[in-house]
This record gives sequence, structure tokens and C-alpha cells, in this order.
Amino acid sequence: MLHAADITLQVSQGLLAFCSAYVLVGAFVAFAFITFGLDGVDAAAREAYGFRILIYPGLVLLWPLVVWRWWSIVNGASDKPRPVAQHARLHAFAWICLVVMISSLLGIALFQSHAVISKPANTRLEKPQ
Amino acid sequence: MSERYVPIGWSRTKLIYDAVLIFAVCAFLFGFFSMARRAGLATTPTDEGSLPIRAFGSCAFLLLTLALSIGPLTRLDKRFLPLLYNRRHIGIVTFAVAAAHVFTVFDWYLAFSPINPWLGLFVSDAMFQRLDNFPFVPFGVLAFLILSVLAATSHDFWLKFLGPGLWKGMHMSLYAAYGLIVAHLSFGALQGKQNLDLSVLVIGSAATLLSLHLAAALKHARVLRHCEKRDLEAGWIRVALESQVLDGRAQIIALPGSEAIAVFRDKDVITAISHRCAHQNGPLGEGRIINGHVVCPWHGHEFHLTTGCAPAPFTDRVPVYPVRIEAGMIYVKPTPVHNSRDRAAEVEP
Repeated sequence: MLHAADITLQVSQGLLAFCSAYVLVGAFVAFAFITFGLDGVDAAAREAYGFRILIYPGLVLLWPLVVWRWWSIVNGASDKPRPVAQHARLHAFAWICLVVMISSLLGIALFQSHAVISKPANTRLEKPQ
Repeated sequence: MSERYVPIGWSRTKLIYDAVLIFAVCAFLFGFFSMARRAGLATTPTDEGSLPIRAFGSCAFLLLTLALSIGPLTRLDKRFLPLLYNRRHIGIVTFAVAAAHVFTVFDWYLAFSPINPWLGLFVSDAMFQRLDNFPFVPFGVLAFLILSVLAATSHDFWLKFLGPGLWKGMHMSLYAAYGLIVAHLSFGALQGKQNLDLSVLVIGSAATLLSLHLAAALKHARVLRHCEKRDLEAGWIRVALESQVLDGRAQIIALPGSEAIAVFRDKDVITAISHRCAHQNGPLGEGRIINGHVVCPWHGHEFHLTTGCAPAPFTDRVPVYPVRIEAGMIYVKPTPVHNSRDRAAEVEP
């Protein structure tokens, strides 16, 4: 029977392998985009080379999004700006979530911290005979 | 707002801003080490080794609190606006300090280990089944991941490539990162017995940040006047008395749909322009006026008050609205003028 620590190790190893593969694919996609796609999707990128180093990590991290936007822009999709009211509602929702989350976490932390302090102090065990 | 992308859009002001920022970070780290040693927190080699971890972690938390406080601060007091113009550099520096925190953790706790340090972060502290001693590291890793994505997508290219809606939505995950960092601290450093200073720092920072946002939201609710039926007179909205709109400032009025209009006074001229910046939906009505252009407080994009056009060679444009002044009262027609670069918005005397 597997212990919780073994399960965590296996899950973490799987996650790490997935992340490595993701980054490897991302590196290829980013290289292809910078070489063949960038000038076509954004006129401001033409003859501008220095900034490409700065955007490379983002292209690797977000390569599925990059492929989707690349495909969308080539096919003539446009991005409609989010209306002010919608943006304000999203902002307000995010802040309400954050207030609840931070208050709860700090409450738990203080309670737990108090519980830890209330525990009896560690005792030194006698040397086995 | 560059015509052709450059790696970093430096200017004299931005260089000074960054120099002050880096000096402040160095001063904080130096002060942290000095005070910790003076307070006797580093009496053993073990304590000494963990000091940089705590120093970088505290610094990153404070920087993130500062970055999130700038928005509400500028809404409460216009004097904080210069802080807003270069906020993304605070974000980058926050990421760099957080990265220093992560790598000092690797160097101190996971050095010489046969397993991958990133794997070590998850498996060295895996007691998910109990609330006491709950692993705090995964919260920090997730927060760092969010900071990495946001730092990697901070260049102007990303805004244009992803579109303002998606980009802004993605960058709002900074709030989630802040919550995760509070969780990281709550289940981690705050559980120690000798962390009264840290408890005060975390609770004080979080409380200040939340209070600032609450105060800014209340002020915004007061400033943003919602258009009511009684304000509508034959298709024109009654805004305010001419004397109530101060020079260089705007009266913002929310229309029944999702649009809002900023009615500006530039000396003796009253104009009405969309409250939404074409760049990122920033609050134009809270911006400054320079040479007849309103400057968006978020990223400095400029739009002419009467045409709504960005200065050449840029092609961005925001809607402008007809204005009428009658017996000292300002009226605005909620239908945008179909303006062109050569024709000013209709202004009725």
C-alpha cells in the first residue's frame, strides 16, 4: 500500500515530466513564432529585434495561447475591448474574493499559531537503556 | 505607445524612478540584515543561512503590496500618479526579488539533494491531510508561477497580441498571487513562535491594502455619477454646473449601458470624451491634461480632447461626445460624434 508521501512523490514526478515536455514544445513554438509569425501579426515588430529576447520566455510559457492568437490574427479575428462596466464588475468580484480569502487565511493562521504556542513544550527523551 | 517596439522604453523620468526603486530595495535588504542581527535573530549558522530567504521574501511581499496599492492611492490623491506611470517596473523588480527568494531556498534547503529542487519543494513537506502543519510551499510556488507569467507578458507587445480584454484579465491574476502569498505566509512563517514582527507586517500590509481599495471604491462611487431619467432632456444628459467642473479635472458620468463619459474642463473649454482608454480600458477621466490631450493615468496614452485621436503617428481613437452649455449647466449628448482626424467634435455654445 502506498503512503501519502509516495503518492505525492509520484504525482510531483508526473507533474515535473509534464512541465518539462510543455516547456520543450513551448521553446519550439516560440522559435517558430519569432522566426515566421511575429512580423505578420504585428507591424510594430518589423525591424525590431531587441525586444524579441524579452518576449521569448512568455512565448514559451503561454505557447497554447500564442498558437491560438497567431491562428486567430492570421484568420482576421479582432479583439473587442471589454466594456467598462464588465471590467469594473470583474475587478469588484476579484477584490471581494481577495478580502474573504485574506481574512480567512489570517484568521486560520492566528488560530493555528495560538494552538501551536499552547501545545506543551518538547521534552527531551531519556537515553534508551 | 511606441511606433516600433523597443526592449524597454526608457526616459529620464523612468530611469530616476527605477534608480529610486532599486535603491529602496537594497536599503530594505541591508536594513533587514542589520536589524535581524541586532535583534539576535541570527545567532547560529542555521539562522544566518535562512536570513536571505526571509529578507527576499519580506521584500517581495512588500513590493507586491506597494504595486497593488498604487491604483487606489492614485484614485484617492492625484499626487501619487507618477508612481502609476511606471508600475510595471515595480512588477518586474518584485518578480526578480521573488526569484531571489526561491533560489536562496534552493541553495539553503535543497542543495546537494539527488532530486530536482522543484520536485523537492513539493515532496519535502507533503502533509496535506492535516490543517496544522499544512504545506505552505505549494502556495508560494503557485504565486511565483503567476508572477513569472505576468513578468514575462509585461511588454507592450503582449497587450496588442492578446488584446486588452484578455491581457488585463490575465494580469488581474496578480490578486490571486497576493492571496496565495498570504496563504504561503499564513501556513508558513506566521506559524513560528517568534514572528510577532512578521505577523504585524503581514496583517498591517493586507489591512492597509484592503482599506485603500475600499476607500478608493467608495470615492469612485461618489465621483461616478449614474445617469438618471431626470438628467435626460430631449436626448441630452444634464451633467453639472459649469463652475462645478474644476480646471484640468473631469466629471464622470455613467450611461445606462456600459459606457461612461468624462466631461473635462481645459481652462475655458468644456469637452466630453469616453472614460475608457482605447489601450487598456484605463480611466481616462482620472487623467491629466497636457497640451489639449488627456493622458491616461494607467500607461500614459494620450488622446485629443476634442477629436479623441491619439497624436500622430498613432492611430488609436476614443469616442468624443457633443457638449452644450445652457444657463451655466453642462449637457452632453450620449451619442458619440463620428469624428475624423481633421474635424473637431461638435461643441455647441
